[in-house]
Amino acid sequence: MASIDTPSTPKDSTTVPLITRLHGWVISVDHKRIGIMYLLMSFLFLILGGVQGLFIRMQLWGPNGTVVDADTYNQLFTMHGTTMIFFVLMPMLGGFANFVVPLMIGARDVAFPRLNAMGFWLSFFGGCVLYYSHLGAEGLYGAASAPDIGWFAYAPLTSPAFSRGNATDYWILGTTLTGVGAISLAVNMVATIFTMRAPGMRLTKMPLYVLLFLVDAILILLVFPPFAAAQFMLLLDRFLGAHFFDPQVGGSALLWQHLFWFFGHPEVYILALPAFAVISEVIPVFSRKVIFGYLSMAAATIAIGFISCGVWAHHMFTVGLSDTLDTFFAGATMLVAIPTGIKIFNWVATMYGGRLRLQTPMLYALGFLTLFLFGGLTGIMLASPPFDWQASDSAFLVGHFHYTLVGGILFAFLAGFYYWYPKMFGRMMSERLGIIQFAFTYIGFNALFIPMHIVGMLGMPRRIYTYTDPSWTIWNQISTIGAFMMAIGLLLFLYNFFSSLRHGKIAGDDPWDAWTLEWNTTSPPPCYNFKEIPTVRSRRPLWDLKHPDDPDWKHE
Amino acid sequence: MSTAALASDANHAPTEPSRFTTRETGLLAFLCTEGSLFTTLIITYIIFLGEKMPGEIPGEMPTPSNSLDLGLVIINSICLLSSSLTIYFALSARKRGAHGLYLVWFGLTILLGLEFVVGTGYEWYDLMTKYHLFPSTNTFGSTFYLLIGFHCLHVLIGVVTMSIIWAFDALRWLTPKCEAPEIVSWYWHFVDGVWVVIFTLVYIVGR
Ligand SMILES: [Cu+2]
Repeated sequence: MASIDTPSTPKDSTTVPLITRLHGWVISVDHKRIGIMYLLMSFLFLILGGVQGLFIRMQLWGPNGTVVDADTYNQLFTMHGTTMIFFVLMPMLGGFANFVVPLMIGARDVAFPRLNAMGFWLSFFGGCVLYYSHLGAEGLYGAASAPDIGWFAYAPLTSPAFSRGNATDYWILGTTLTGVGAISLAVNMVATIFTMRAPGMRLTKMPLYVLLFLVDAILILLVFPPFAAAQFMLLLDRFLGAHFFDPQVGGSALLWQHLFWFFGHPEVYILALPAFAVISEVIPVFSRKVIFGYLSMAAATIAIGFISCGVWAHHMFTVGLSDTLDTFFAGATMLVAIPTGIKIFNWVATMYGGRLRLQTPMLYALGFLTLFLFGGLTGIMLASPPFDWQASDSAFLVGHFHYTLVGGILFAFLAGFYYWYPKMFGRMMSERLGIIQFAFTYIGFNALFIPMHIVGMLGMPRRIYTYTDPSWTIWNQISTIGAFMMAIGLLLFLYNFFSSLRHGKIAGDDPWDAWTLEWNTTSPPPCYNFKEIPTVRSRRPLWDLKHPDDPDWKHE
Repeated sequence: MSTAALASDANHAPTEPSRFTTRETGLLAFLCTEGSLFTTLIITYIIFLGEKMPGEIPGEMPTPSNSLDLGLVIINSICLLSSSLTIYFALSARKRGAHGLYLVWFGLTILLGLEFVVGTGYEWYDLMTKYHLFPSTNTFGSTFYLLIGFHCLHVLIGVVTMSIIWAFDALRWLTPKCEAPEIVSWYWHFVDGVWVVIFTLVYIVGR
């Protein structure tokens, strides 16, 4: 592969006009640039989804709030949920998959670079289509201008009779497009990880990060198509008068719920596995210990992948399935706690007796552990149907899934940002700002979502645009204050991210003294990644290199 | 630290021989997704099989048994299934380096696939004009057009892809090592296999 070795002459960024540089990004098929573009896309939508969340919180500040009206409120929570799942967390997943995985397995790019670029632009286009509904969705009816059907779009809310105008159609098209983007990402990941690993890196010698992304990609391949099929049925219902989800003519509104949640529940794990992947890298490096129980981690990951495909109806206890089904899905859901518990145990055991370095990536990883544990425990409560019947449509459930999606997944991704930023841009993010941001985000997050559990137990339903009970006021006010604290934290993060591009400390190739291959090339890596494809013999190739007297492969 | 040191340090590390090439692996991953898609569509068809509208008088609405004609479908199926054979012959001719023979078999595959698409068009035309079956007629119409339509779309995509590869190969723009014909044949066998399931379900069991 000598022909790729000649480095392209680095052009002085001041002499190349901005438009040429931007054009270079747009036409790029380099996995590192596409990864960074995925991350920038997630920032854009994080701001949009965050502002929607703040409006929701301002409306709920006190009884009989008048910040927005009921219709706008429906649109706000629909757009907030859809944006955060499909256009914030999914692109973050895409960014971390694209940037890190090929570097970590010693490859020069992903398997299909052009397909990769197409996947990114489809995802981004999907987001644009969804938000275009604000401009173009009035259609002939002058109806709602943004989708107002909830992020799970239950039938018959989506039927032509109840959802006039085209807002729902933009929702369908936007999410489907981003689904196609996710599938092309997954095809790429599977082909890259199976066939492009560095010599010597057997499937059992991969870093856990890579293994988790492999399982993740397979989950994407299996559960996005049913969602796309359901979306297509919905389009037929809306445009050709088909009857899939219309019970009056023999259709089944319940079918939508089954198809949606068959996608929707594994989707949570599709987002969570990359978070676990980040944590499984950060915790060993910052505890200066090898990960505890590699094989049980791998087995737990695969178990989570399997089980998560058989638990979807725990989102449907309240529709009144049969007792047998309820029991089955409750049991299966509680089973998930076992592999997840193994993972948490292993992370803690990795830290036990290690020399902990409490730098920003580790701080966020610890934040992840506490918050995800909390979210997991309320998840077990909700897995029991009698409790779920009471709490399912209350603010308690909103608190629960924000603990897993934000407290768990977003915190893990933040750890990932601080950890790989030096590799992406060659500079460190500010440690001081990072700690301040952590304080704001962590305290704000808990202030925002703990009261939701309490007020949910007191009986406050979710998705209501206002309330009259004054005893709920204080909890909602704490929530709202927490929301603004968290917003400050995330703004600090964005400021840190962009200002460190110029003012950050020069990082060097391996600022964290880490063990995986991506730290063996320059920061940022050249477009061909590695001058010479390294050969590996253990799960920590850089440890072997740094400690030739006591290499890992003697012990594995 | 240099990568060279790392590489020379462990020169004799065993590597895993990969069973499939990168492109083959990519296609297999894609076929997993396709399998999941068709499973969903087939399950949906089964769920609504025999579903009646509230208050429907028997015989009033088109059902699988009173509107599906086997004649044309059997001809279509024979064409599609034999195209799996012809593409197999085409590829073995290509492996032997018999370029002309390869183009003939591959071209025949494309024509057989095209027959299936046109035949399905005729079937639909009959259903719509003779039996007044539309997606909006009843759940049978909705699920039938969804399932058959998605499959037929896959056949059409295969026909278009194969035509492009055929034209490129006829102009000798592809090297003999190019994997495209092999890979499109995997896709084609998959589409044929799905048809066996759909045919059995829709025209035999469900009728
Ligand atoms: Cu779930």
